[in-house]
Amino acid sequence: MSLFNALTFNPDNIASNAGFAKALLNKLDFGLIILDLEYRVVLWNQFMVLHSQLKEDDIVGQTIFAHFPEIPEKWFKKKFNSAVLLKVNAFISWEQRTYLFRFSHNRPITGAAEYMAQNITFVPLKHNNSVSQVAIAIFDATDSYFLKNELQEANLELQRLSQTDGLTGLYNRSHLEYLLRAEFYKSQGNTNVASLIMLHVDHFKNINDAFGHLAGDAALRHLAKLLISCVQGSNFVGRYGGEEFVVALPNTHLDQALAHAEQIRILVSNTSFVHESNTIELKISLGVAMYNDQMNTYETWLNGADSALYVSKSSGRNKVTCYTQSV
Amino acid sequence: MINSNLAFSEDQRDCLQELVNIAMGQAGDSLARLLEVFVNLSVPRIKVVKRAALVSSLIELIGHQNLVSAVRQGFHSQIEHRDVRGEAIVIFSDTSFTELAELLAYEDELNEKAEQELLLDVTNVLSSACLAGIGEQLEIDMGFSVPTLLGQQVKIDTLIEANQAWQQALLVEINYSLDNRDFMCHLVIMMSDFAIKALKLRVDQILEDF
Repeated sequence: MSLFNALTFNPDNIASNAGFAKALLNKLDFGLIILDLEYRVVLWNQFMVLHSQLKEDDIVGQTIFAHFPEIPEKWFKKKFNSAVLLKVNAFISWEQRTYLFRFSHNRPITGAAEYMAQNITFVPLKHNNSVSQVAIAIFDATDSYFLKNELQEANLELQRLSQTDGLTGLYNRSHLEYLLRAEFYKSQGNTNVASLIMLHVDHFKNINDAFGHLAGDAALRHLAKLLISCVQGSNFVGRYGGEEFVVALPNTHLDQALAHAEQIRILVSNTSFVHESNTIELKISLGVAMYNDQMNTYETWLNGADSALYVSKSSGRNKVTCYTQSV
Repeated sequence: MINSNLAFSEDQRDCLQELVNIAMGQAGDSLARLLEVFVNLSVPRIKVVKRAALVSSLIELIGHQNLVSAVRQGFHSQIEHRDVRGEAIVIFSDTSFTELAELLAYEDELNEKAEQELLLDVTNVLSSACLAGIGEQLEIDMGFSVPTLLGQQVKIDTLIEANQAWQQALLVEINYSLDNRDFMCHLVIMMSDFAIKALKLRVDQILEDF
């Protein structure tokens, strides 16, 4: 019987409606299976035939597990039985379990997922208040799956953008402060140490004036690359101001932080910076401060490093100064 | 309509309590057969609360303000050709997922999605067993929607959105626990104004039949 001829519901002709129902089940774009209490297939609609490559004759009378070993048997039986014993629907959502059946989806060219995502409902078929069969409806949820993935990726990118300084690619001011605050609170009331380095480009205005703002931007990018190469493990670096950067060194004592700062200073001083065939001198001044419990806020800590930086600037530049109480 | 008193008379309250108690007993039986473990259900507590008092009532029923995870499931029925809708929430505090996994014959790795699936599945089972039982006592057909996660490790007051349209809610709370197993949760069935009226109608009919 042609599927199209049968697709007319006739309220007056009961006999033809049985054919209609069967044809409709095969025309609708969702999977429909009926299993008996031994988990044997009683009905296997056209959607299932199409996606499983199993004709109805191939599977009717056999258990669902015989042809689909990927289905966890004990778990499936428990879910199936909840529909039978409680006589209520049971559900599987693609958001927790992407698929039950490994079927390909309808985006073989544009979509990069392995299998069709599925929403599944188990419907107990009641007869005289007892259940001897359960219908299982399978709906293709792949579009939702792709949309959710795109959303998650967009959110990650959004988060990254909100934390990143556009020019240098380092953490921006607000995220840097967020991390510093966290580091500060970790140190409060604890025995661990932490230090931070504040550094500032020497004579940055001269670079801009002599070689143009593009050169200035390039200088900052060059510096950022060098700073990133110095930062490992739990240390982090961010752009604090126009030409000012902060390197945070958790679990680092002032002595080590001083050595680290000196390493950075030498690296910057010794690495030539070339912009449009101009070799441009690039040097930095640095101030280092270790956390101590007299500091009430993370700003106090930053101010300590800033004071030390000021000393570096006013005593010749291109040097490192440590913050001590007497500064 | 706004000021109509939805309080239950003593007869109505007793009748409803009796029906719910019977329904819970039967639900306990079905659950025990399904989960193969003895299920303890507390005596259901029934309250009618004003919208402003919903969150504090929930906190009172749960018994603490610690972080919880919660799943909701909608239910619907018809009483005297009126659409009756409500929601059931299952609230979990401190859940042992290994216990849940055993109960539901879960064999895969217990990652975040697996934990969510376990919460959703146990909610479907507990809430629909209970509501189907109540439906049977009231002689109404119950339908259920797909359960969805309200939150994991969140405060109770974040579970309900502000600015609700309804005025009063009927709450039925049951505490579930299992013998010899580290698992406990609260089921709170909720319905509001219109649904409460329809429910009272049904209770009155049942009272008449006595």
